Amino acid sequence: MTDNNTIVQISGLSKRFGATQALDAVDLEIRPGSIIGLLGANGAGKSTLLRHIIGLYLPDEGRCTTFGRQAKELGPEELGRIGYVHQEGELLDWMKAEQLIRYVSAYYPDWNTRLEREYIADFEVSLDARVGSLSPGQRQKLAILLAIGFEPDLLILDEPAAALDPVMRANFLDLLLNIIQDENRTVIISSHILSDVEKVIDHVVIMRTGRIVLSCGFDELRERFSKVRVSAVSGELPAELPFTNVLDCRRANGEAILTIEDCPAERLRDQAERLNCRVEIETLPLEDIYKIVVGQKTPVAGAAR
Amino acid sequence: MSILSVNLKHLYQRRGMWLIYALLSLPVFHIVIAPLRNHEPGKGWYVGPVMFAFVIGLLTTLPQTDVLSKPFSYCLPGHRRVIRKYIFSTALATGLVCSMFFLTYHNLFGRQMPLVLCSAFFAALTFYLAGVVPALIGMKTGVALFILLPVTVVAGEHYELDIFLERLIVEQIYPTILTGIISGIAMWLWLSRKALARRYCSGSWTGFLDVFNAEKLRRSANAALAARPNKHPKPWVEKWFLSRMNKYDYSGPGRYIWGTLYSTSAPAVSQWPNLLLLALVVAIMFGYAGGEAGFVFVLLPAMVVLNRHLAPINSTMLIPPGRRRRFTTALGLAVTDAVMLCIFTLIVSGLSSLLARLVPTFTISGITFTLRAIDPRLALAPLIFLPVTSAVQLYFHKTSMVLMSGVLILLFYLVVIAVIIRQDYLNVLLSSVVVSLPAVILLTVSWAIFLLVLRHVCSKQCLIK
Repeated sequence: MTDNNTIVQISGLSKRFGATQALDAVDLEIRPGSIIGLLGANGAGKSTLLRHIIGLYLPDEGRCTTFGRQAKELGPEELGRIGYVHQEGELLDWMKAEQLIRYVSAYYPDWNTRLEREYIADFEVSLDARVGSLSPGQRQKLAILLAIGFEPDLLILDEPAAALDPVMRANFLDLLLNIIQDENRTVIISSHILSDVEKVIDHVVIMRTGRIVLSCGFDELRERFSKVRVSAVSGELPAELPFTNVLDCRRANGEAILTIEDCPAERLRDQAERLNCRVEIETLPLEDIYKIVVGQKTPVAGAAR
Repeated sequence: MSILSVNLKHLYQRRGMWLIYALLSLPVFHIVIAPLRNHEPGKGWYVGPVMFAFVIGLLTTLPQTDVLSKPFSYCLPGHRRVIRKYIFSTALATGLVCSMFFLTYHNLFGRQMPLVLCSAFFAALTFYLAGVVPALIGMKTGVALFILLPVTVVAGEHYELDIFLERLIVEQIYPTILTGIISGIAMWLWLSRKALARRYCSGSWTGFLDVFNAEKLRRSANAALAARPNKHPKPWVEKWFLSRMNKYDYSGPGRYIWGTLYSTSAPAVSQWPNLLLLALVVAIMFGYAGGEAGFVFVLLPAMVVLNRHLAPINSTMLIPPGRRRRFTTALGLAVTDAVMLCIFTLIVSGLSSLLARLVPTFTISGITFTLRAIDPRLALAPLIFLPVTSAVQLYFHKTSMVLMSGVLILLFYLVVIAVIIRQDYLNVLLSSVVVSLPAVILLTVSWAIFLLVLRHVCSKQCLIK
């Protein structure tokens, strides 16, 4: 059953394309006001999942409910609350950019002209250019404007910033942060540029071969993994470092750098003190966490060497 | 494997080439069989293969424009010069094969035979290299084929160019050989220019073969549009369509139907004078072709439907129709297309009736050409065949290019049968179908099929390519 406080409810969703199992018994619940980072390698099933949410794909098994309706039954009322930027960037190439904006805005009663003007100025969208002649980055900027111009409740961004240059990516992230000022607005962002994603998301979903391998709050995830720099207070670093849940250990220049899962900072400090060592604890960047989760690194049994 | 071998593989690895082979098989058979069955000298039978070397030059060079436009042709060692090797290898092979037909030429004795063979070889080489030029300078292949070939055939028949060329090859041996050598040197120097690879590198080139490459066609069309920023759609077209959209509710079907019509038809509507011109050209062409022209109006819906690219069913464009709205919009679009094609056919029919009274009858090589009025009942054809074609495309959308190839080959052979054999059986066949079954039944069945397929796709299938 769909919770009234849930925007998207997916349960047991499976989809197969020929011999490829694109989605395999996926369960996911998205609540309003969250910014979800959907991560995974190419072919992990991210785009397929997003297309189920807006009803473009139909599941072989399971259910997908968006705004309380089965995704296949979504009508203009529900889809008019969803903005969608996708990686293929299909647009009407023969139109000029301003004609395309006028055309798309004609479908939305709540098109925000002020937002449109601000975006055009900030992102330097060339209105007079033919859409087909735009560079990939300019096309992407236009596609984003068309997705946010009607201030959707649910914004789905499938590789939105891949074609943008670093400055425009930074502007785009600022824009996203502005968009999510409205606490009821939900954003699902699928991207390979994890350094960008981690600046805005509050929930992480990691997919691999059609399955969700991790779904949790971003803060919770960052607390789970840490990078620990261990150095001796005096003399040599011990040959064995008996820390628990060590995923990786590298030694260089008389110190060891450990990647540790599920070990509170206090316990780490206690253990280091007993070894006559000092520790510096840092949170891992999302990219490293992603590699650990997708690479399925298991904790090293026994002491780290 | 050498670079040349890889380039030569295009001749059998590309699906587009097989389409061309299928299209040309009948004329090639005719050209090849003529000198083998008719040995009478001075009648022009032997020069068919020599002249056909022009078409071979044009078609075998086309894949090379694709290769040249890839950055690796410009950057990797040996790639810039391979085009020259390729063209001369295929030219020599073509010249050799075409000249062999003169082995059966009568009354050639002693050293005359090798000299005539040599002359025929260089004549074929000249024709081949002449075909290379339009392919490399980017002349539209379709234009080159469909204008140059009929013009050559008609002019050749009228002025007996084939007989003239045969006499040149046999009687003016040394000038013919000299012309071939000069053509070869000129082409060699032209292909040796340093600027050649730079001209093509990363450029947007499209040819007849690119009917299989939808993405490349899109990019080329965009490049062409970008080069003409003031062209379509005209402002009045945009205003007109948007005003129609704005008359309907935001979630109502009317807004989506008008929106889809705008997004699919505005460029064509902007060029409405060209459509009238096209109607005039069709009226003249198929008026002169006689009653056999009827099949064109059967195939016209296929051309329109294929050009729609499954809009609005498989569009991921950011507009909010649900599956139900996509169904009504696709239906609205199909009805509009069918009615517009019906009107177009009536206009063509009306124009042909008018022209039949005005334009003269003329005779070329004993064949009399008379413009006849096109039967207005053919306007029913789009109404019957558009829904069927749409249903086929919807259901087999993954194989739409194969469908397109099939339609092209069918169209070509129907033209050949209609023009060469000049019998009315196509029309008889068409009219017997239409007459024997009441049009209402045909209309009902075809639209019912379309509705069933559309409903199935909209409710049961993934809406994305």
